[in-house]
Amino acid sequence: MPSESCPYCGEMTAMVQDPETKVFKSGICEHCKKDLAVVAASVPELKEEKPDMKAPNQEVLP
Amino acid sequence: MAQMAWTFPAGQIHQEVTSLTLVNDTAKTIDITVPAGKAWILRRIRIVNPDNVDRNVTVTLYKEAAKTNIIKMIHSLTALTTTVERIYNNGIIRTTANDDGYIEKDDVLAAGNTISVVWAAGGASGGATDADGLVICYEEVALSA
Repeated sequence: MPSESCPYCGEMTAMVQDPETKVFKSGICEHCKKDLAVVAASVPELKEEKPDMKAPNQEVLP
Repeated sequence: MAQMAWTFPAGQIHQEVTSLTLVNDTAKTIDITVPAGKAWILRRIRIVNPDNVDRNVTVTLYKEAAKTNIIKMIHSLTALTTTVERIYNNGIIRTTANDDGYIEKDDVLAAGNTISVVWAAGGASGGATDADGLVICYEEVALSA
């Protein structure tokens, strides 16, 4: 199980696995009891580029 | 006619996805430890820097969860530019300009071995989160006594 450093106290704390997606996410720090999920929600989320399947075909045939 | 068969050496395939949150000017560490009674064949590590400043990234393999003894540095202190990902493949380097990290072919990790990924503090930033900021792909083998 992954563990992460707490941005408040710097200690390592266990991450929590989402039962549906199986993704490991931030939980409550075992040491300082701060909710690290709140921190994750307070910063911008990276939106990674995905292929646009509806875009018109730009290929030009000879 | 001779046939070529593609076989996996052993184990169950895992693609462990971990969300990542980087906070303004604060280092981040994520550790992943091989459970007791298991061995891992490490296939791939994907690391993202979602923040709006460069972050130095270090990937270290330790012998134990207490992170006392280093087995090897998988990657050491290279600036990962903003919103860029880096992938360490098994035996192959996927190059970026200054990428020198890779996983040795069929790198087998013993129980207790810990992969530690550190994003160094990169100075003042907006902070950011990525739902799949760290992905580790491996095959897990159960060890018999």
